[in-house]
Amino acid sequence: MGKNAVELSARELVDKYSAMIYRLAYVRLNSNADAEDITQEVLLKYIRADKKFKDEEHRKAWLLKVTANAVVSHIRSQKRSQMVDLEEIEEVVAAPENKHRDLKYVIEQLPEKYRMVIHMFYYEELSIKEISEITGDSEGTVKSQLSRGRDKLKKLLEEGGRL
Amino acid sequence: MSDKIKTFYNDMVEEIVPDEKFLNSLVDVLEKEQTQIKRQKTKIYYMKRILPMVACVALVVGTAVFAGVGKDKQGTGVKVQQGDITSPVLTGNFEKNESVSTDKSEYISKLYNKLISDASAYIYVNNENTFVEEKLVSDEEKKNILEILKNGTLTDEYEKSDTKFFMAVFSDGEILKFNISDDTYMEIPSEEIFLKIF
Repeated sequence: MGKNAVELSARELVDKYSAMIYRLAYVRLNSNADAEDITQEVLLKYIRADKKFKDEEHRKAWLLKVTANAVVSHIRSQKRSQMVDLEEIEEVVAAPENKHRDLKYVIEQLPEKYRMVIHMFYYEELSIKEISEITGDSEGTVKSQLSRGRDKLKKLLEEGGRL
Repeated sequence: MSDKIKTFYNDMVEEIVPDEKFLNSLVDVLEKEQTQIKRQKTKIYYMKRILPMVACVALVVGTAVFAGVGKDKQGTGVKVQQGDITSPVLTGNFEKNESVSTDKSEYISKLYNKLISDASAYIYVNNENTFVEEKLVSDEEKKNILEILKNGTLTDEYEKSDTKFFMAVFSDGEILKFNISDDTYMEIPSEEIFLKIF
């Protein structure tokens, strides 16, 4: 059994899990600031929950699920918010992040509902069943989203001459 | 084809890394949270250890107090009713530093001095010598007892009329008994001495 969140040092926690959380949040929200907020929120939840996990896989699945939920809550709260800061929008449009240009293009073009499923399947190498448990969707829905998302991704990469 | 997509996607994602400055501030935030949680856990740990002990002590003290109120102090078989306990013996104008000369008798001197110095002492009175249905003496009776002990003189005369039997129970467990007749004569049966006040 692995250490719980309080037994690991803060630095160990950040080194081990921050990138995983940050990446999943980023591919869905397409924003550094939002991904940072989600990363902090999830790691704080992890420390407060002080859960013991059977193994590393179990821990990873828990963190991804909490991240996915936090992302969904974040999107809902954004939609609820009536106040839009136009300056912020201009700033985002005017300053594209060169570092993530390819990814930004792909993410922006990929429908939102496919983003997390694609990421969990390709990058985190989770099974359809595991993704279904994390997102709360049925395996059939995940399979369908994955298939459509993969086709869309393939098309995007072909259009960009990357395949 | 699928592997190519996966490779391309994963290569892109590898480029996404959180900002180092953000990560350092995140470490600080998490450290603070961990410290707070550890403190709370330590507090809860000690509370869990201390609370049962406090509860046990409270139970023991509570039981002892409750049992002490309902029983006699020297196993005399005399029971004191909870409602009977009113005030300590010393009331009136008797000073603690006033003592009765041992010339009269050591017993009388001791009785007097203990009555005025032991704030937890009680005097019980009964019309019979059995002390089965005794009562605590009234303030008036206390004053009279102290008056006789202080100012009474030794005498061979003793008129038994309207005799009341007294038992003084002190906080150190000692019990001293005496009788008073007609509010004038005091008898110390164990010593065979008599005091009279005019």
